[in-house]
Amino acid sequence: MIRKNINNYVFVIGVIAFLFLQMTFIPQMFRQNMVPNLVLIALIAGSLLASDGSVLYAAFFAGYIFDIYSGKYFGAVMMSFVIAVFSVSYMNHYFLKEAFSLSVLFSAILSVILYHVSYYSVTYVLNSYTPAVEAGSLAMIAASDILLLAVMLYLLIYIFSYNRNEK
Amino acid sequence: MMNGFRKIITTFIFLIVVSALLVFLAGANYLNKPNSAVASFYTPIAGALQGYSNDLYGFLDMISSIGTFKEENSRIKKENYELTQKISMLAEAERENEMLRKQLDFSDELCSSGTCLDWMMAKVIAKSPNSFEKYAIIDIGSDSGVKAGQAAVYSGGMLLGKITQVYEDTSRISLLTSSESSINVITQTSRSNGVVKGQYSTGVRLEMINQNEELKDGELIITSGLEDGIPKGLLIGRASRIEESANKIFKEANVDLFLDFNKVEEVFIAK
Repeated sequence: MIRKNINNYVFVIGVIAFLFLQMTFIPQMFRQNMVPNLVLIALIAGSLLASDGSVLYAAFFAGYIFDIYSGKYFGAVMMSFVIAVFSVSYMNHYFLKEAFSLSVLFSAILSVILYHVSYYSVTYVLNSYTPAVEAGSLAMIAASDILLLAVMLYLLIYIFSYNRNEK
Repeated sequence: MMNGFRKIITTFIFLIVVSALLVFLAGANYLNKPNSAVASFYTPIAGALQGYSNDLYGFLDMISSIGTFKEENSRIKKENYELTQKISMLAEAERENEMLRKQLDFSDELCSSGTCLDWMMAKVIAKSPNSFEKYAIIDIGSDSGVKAGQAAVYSGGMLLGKITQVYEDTSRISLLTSSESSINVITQTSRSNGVVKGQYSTGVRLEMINQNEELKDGELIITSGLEDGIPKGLLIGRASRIEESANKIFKEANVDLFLDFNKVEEVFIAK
């Protein structure tokens, strides 16, 4: 129980660290619109590795900070993070439990698509606003997110299975 | 396990409801204060990180652009050279323009006093290589209508010397300081006639002033107009260190020239 709590704390601290990185370093390091969403990556990784609701709370909290920081369309990121994390947890739990490696790739694709769809849907519902984003740019952003997410998740799986084998 | 996932579903529904509630409250401006409080917590941290981020980005940008430094440097050098060249050409054009304007003013003044002349501009292409003979070679000659004995004038009406040799494309000017130079002059105030002669490059002397003429120190010396090709009123210099003695027939004086002949680049020849 204590170990589980410690893991939760580490995860929350990690998400907060990613949150600050996402708001400061990352947009500056990546040019144009190709900015990977580190927080989304951390949340999806967490949802694959943890089987409780703590990741959902983390998604809610991170989205809340994002919404305050961005200053407009309050609630869009918050809801999108929660929906994306839940969807991945759901798919992972019911359909992809056995094939973990496949589920990682599938989760990456699904979560990114769901995040973007839910973000633009929520924004549209909240503000009757059609985002002025070109389909090509959106596809490039999604592709970069998927790629980065997949790489990072496979890395986490490798570390995770290595630790498990050691035990 | 099913119970565990039911908990997740419950949490999800709970969070969506809370999110919807927050969105509603935010829309009604009820969340301004709490949001400001949360923002005041992370804004300083984000601000500090942004500072480090800028520094890091600047450093990485510098590292990534090292490869282009050489190319950029050579491009800037080339641009700098071209700009310097343009500035230099503009400065030269400005100087030439100024000189032509001064000469035009002088020409107008000369014409109003009864001597109307057309002037040709020439460039000095060579100067005497030794200290004894002072002359200059200009880039126009007989093809342009230059004749021996014509006055060579600096912008504004200062006499430099006389044309002593003419070729097809070039001419030779014997400068006032040359030993072969001898010009009829008049002092502007006392109207004393005399001759200005070169002194083997050591200077210029005013000679042949009658003892009964009153010559003042610092008086302006101008050409008398008695010689063919040299109009009246061209400026030569100022009289100084006047020498007069009962034993001598004529008075003599040094002439302080206004112009450093070594720096002359263009001259005007009266047609």
